[in-house]
Amino acid sequence: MRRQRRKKICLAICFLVLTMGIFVLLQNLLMPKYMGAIKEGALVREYYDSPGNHDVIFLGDCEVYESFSPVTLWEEYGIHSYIRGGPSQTIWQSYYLLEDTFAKEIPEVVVFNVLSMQHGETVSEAYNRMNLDGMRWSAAKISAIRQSMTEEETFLSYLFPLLRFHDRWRELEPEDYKYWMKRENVSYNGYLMQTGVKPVTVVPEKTPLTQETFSDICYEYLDKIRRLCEENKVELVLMKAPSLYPYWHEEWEEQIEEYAEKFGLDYYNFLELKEETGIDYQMDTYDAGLHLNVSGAEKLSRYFGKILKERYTLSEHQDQKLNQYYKELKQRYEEEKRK
Amino acid sequence: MLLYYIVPKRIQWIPLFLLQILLLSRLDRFSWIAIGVTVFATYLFSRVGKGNKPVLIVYLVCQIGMMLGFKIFTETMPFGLSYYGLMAVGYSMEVYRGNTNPDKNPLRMALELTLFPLLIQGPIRNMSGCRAGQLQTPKYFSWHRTEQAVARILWGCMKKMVIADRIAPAVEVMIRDPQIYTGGYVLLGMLFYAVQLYADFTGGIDIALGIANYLGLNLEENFQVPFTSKNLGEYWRRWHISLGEWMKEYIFYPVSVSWPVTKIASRIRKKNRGLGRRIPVYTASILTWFATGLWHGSEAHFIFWGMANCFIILISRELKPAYDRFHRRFPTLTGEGKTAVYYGYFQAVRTFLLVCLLRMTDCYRDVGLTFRMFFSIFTDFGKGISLAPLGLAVSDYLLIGTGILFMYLVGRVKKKKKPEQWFLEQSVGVRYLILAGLFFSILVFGIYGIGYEQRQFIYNQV
Repeated sequence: MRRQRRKKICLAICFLVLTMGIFVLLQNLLMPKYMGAIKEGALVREYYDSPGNHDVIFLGDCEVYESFSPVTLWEEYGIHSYIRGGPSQTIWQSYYLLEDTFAKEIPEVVVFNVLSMQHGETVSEAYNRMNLDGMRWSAAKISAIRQSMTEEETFLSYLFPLLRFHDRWRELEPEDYKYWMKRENVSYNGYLMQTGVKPVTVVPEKTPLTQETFSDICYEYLDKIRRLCEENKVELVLMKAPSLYPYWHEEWEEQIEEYAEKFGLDYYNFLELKEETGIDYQMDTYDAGLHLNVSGAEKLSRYFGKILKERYTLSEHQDQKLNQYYKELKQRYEEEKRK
Repeated sequence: MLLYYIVPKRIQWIPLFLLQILLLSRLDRFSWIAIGVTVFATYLFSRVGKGNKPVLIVYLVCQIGMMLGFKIFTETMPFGLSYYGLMAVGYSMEVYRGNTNPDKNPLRMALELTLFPLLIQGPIRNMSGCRAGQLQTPKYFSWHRTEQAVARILWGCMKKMVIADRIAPAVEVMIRDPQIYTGGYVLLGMLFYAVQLYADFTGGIDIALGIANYLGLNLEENFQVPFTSKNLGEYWRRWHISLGEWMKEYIFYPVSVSWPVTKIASRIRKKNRGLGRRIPVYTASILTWFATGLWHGSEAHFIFWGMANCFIILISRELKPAYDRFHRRFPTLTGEGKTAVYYGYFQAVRTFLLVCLLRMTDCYRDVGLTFRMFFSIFTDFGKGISLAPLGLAVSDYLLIGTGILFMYLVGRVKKKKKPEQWFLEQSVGVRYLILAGLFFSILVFGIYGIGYEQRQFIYNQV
C-alpha cells in the first residue's frame, strides 16, 4: 500500500516536471525573439551578459540606445559603458532598471535622457513587454511591472509570458526556431546600430504643447533616480539627445534646467550643441532626423566621451578579459557596420 | 480546495463555504439580496414546511414571484438565480413531500443550495432523496476521482476556450447584420451557432461536474450525446437534462395530475374519449414549455421558441401512429441492417437541423426577423457566401474542425460508457498524454488574453 502510494507520488512528480519542461519549451518557442525586425525588445535582456563593472550607465528611450556607441567610448577613452535603454522607456522603468543595475554593480556615472519626462502614463503594452520581459526577476522587476501595467494586462502574464504570447503560433518564423533555445546578442552594450542614411529634407513643424509641466509621477521618479544615485555615491547626469522630433519644448527645457540647477546636476542638451558635436542631419540620421545612425552615434560618443573622461572620475581598466571582450565586440560591430 | 480533504471531516464543508464567500464576494448588491432571500426563505421552509401546503404555497409564491420579477422587470438576472432558484424550489418541494431530510445547519444548507460551480450555468441539481445533503457525509480523497475531475475540467475548458469562443465572433458577424448575411450565411450561422452553443454549454457543465466530482459530490449528467437524437422529444431528454427533469418533476407531472385538469379531462372524456385523454398531457406540455421558454428569457422570442418546441413535440405525438405504419411497411428502416443505420443518421441530421432552426430565434431575437432569415435561405441561396468577412483564418477552421472531431469521438465513447470510466481504463502514459494535451491546447490555442474578448458562458445570461 505504502509502496503503491510512493510509486504514485514519484509518477506525479515525474509528470509535473515533464509538464513544466514542455511549458518552458513552448514558452521559449512562442515568445518574440527580437532578433530580426524589432531588435529593440532584446536590449534589456542583453545587459546581464556584459562583463565587469561599468563606468557609465545610460538610461532612457530610443534616443539613448541609438545615440551612443559604447564601442567608440571604449576605443577612444577607455570608458566601459552600457546603455540600459528600451523603446519608449518610461521614467519609472528607467528607475527600476537602475535599481536592478545597482544590485549587480555600482557605476561611477549614470546618464539619464530626459525625453521620457513627457510620459506620465505607460506608452503601450507592447513597449511594456519590450522593456520588462528581459529584466531578471527581482523586487525591482516586480515593482516595474506593477507600475507599468495597463488595465488589460495581468501580472500573471509577466510571470508566465506564454499567457501573453500564446497566440504567436500563427506567426512563427524560422527565426523563432533558430533562437528557440539560445539567442544571440543584437546590440553592442545596449547600442542598437543603424547603418542607413536618410537625410533631413523638411524640418518637422513644432508639435503642439499638450502639457506645460511634467507630471508629478515623472518628478517623483526623477527624484528617486537622483536619491538612488546619491545614496550609492554615483554621479547623475541629465541629457537630451539630438533629435529633431518629437519636439523638445522650451517650457520643458526650462523645467529640466531648473531641476538640474536646484540639485546641482549636470545637464547637457545636445540639441543646442550641434556645432560642438558635429552632427550633420544630412548624413548622421537614418530616419530623417528622428534618430541618429552609427555615424551620428560615433560623433556624439566622441564628444560626450571626452566630457565624461575629463569631468568625472572614471576607473582605468587594465583588465585583459575586458580588452578581449571589446575586441570581439568591435569585430562584430565592424561587420554590421560594413553591411 | 486542498483544505477540503485536510480538515477534519466534521468541518469539511467549512473551507468550501469560505471559498464560496470569497468567490461570491464580488457579486453585485441584487445578486447578494437574491441569494440571501432564497437561502433564508428556503431554510425557514425546510424547518416547518414538511406536509404544510399553505406554507408551501406562500413559499412558492415568494420564490417564484421573485424570480419572475427579476426576469420580467430587470435586464439581467441576479447571478445564478435561474439555477439555484429552481434548485431551491425543487428542494422545498422534496421537503414538503417528505422525500428528503433537510439540513439543520443553515450555512451548510446555503452552501449546498448555491454551490459555486453550479451557479454559472447549472446543472440544476435534483434534490430528492439522498441526492440532497451530500455535504453532510464525509468525503475521502481519491486519486482516481481527482484525475477524472482534472480531465473533465480541462476538457470543458478546451471546449469553451478553444472552440466556442473561437467560433463566436463569426456567429456574431452573421447575426449582427441580417441585411447582408442572408441566404447561405443563415444556414452557416445556424450550424456555427450550434457548434458554439454546444461547446460553450457542455464545456461549462463539464467544468462544474468536474469540480463536483473532485469534491466527491454525485451529480447527474446534463447531456447525453444530444445530437444523436432521432426526434425532438428524444433530443430534449438528452439536452439540458437537469432542466427537463425539473420541469417534468415540478410542472409537467403536478399539472397533469392536478385536480382541475383531471376533472376537466374526465368531463370531456365522456363526450370525446380521445380529446379527454389528451387534455392532461397537452395542458401540462403547454405549461411546461411556456415555463421553459420563460426560464430562458421573458422576451417574446423565447416564449415563441418554447411553444414551437411544444407544438412540434405534440404534432410528432399525434403523428406517431402514421410513423409506426410507415416503419411497419419498411421494416429495414428500423431493423439492424445498414439501411437502419443510414436511416438513423438521416433522423439524427433531421433533428439536428430542426433544433438549429428553432435556435435561430435565439440568434436573431426577433420572431419576424427569424422567419424572414429562414426564408432567405431559399430565396438568396444563389448569392453564394464568402468566408472572408467572418474573420476566421484557415488555422481557426482547422482548430474548430479538430475540436468537433474530438467532441464526436468523446460522444461515441459516451454512447457506450462514461468517458470518465474510459479515461481510467487507459494506461498511465495515455492518461498523462490526454491531460497534458488538453492543458497545452488550452494554453496555446485558447481564446484569452490581450487581443481577445472574454466571453461569458451563454447560459449564464439566462
